[in-house]
Amino acid sequence: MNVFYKSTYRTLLSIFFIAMASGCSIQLVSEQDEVSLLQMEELAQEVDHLFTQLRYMPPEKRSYKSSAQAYLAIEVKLNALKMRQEIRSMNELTLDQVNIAIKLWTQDRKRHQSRDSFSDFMLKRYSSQYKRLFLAMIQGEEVKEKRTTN
Amino acid sequence: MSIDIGKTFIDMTKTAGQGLEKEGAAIGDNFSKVLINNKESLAELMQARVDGEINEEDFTIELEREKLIVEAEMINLEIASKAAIQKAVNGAMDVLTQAVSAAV
Repeated sequence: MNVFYKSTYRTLLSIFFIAMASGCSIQLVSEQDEVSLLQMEELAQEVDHLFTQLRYMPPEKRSYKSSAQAYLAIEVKLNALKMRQEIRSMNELTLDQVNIAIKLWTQDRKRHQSRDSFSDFMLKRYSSQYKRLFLAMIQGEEVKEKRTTN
Repeated sequence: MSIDIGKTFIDMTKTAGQGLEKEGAAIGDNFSKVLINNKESLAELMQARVDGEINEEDFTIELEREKLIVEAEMINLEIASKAAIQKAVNGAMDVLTQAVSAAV
């Protein structure tokens, strides 16, 4: 009888401490998400592709029409990335970064459309700025803890 | 017309440092790092405006763009610090759990 109670006591105590430890573990940011990382890397590559392609064109041929499809494809992927961030808990900071990317992309697309041209100076800047932006997003995601599988 | 880019940068980091004094040294240091990393890009922008390569409207738009990108870079630092705190606290709790489990 004594052995039975001792064993039950030990089991209950173990469960209590496991539960307590689980309850005490904190989550300040979301876990790392492989899919988001892939989406960010793909977007960085597509944006770089667009600006590199524009740079290879003579300035007079850099019309909005020549890049309209690429702008649309990237906008759709940015929206998909935003949707993925919205469903992750404790993920407001990454969502803020994605919102910045969407705001810039919408603004830059409209600017290209209204001016229908792109100077070498602006191309260089945009290319470098989007690299910084996606690098910040990717580094921010990579620094998060990976999901632990038991 | 010429512009003393080095002096402008010192003034920029000084102003940012004063603005972030209350937030602690770490944030000010991180902001200075972000600013220094992008010194070349900002210097090109200032020079382009001084040389008349871009007009006032484009310069203002570019400054606003730059602010948004710096904001994204600063968010990144916030994520890193939160992830580090989370890892440290949960690591400490794991040690406690293991110690208790071993003792029971």
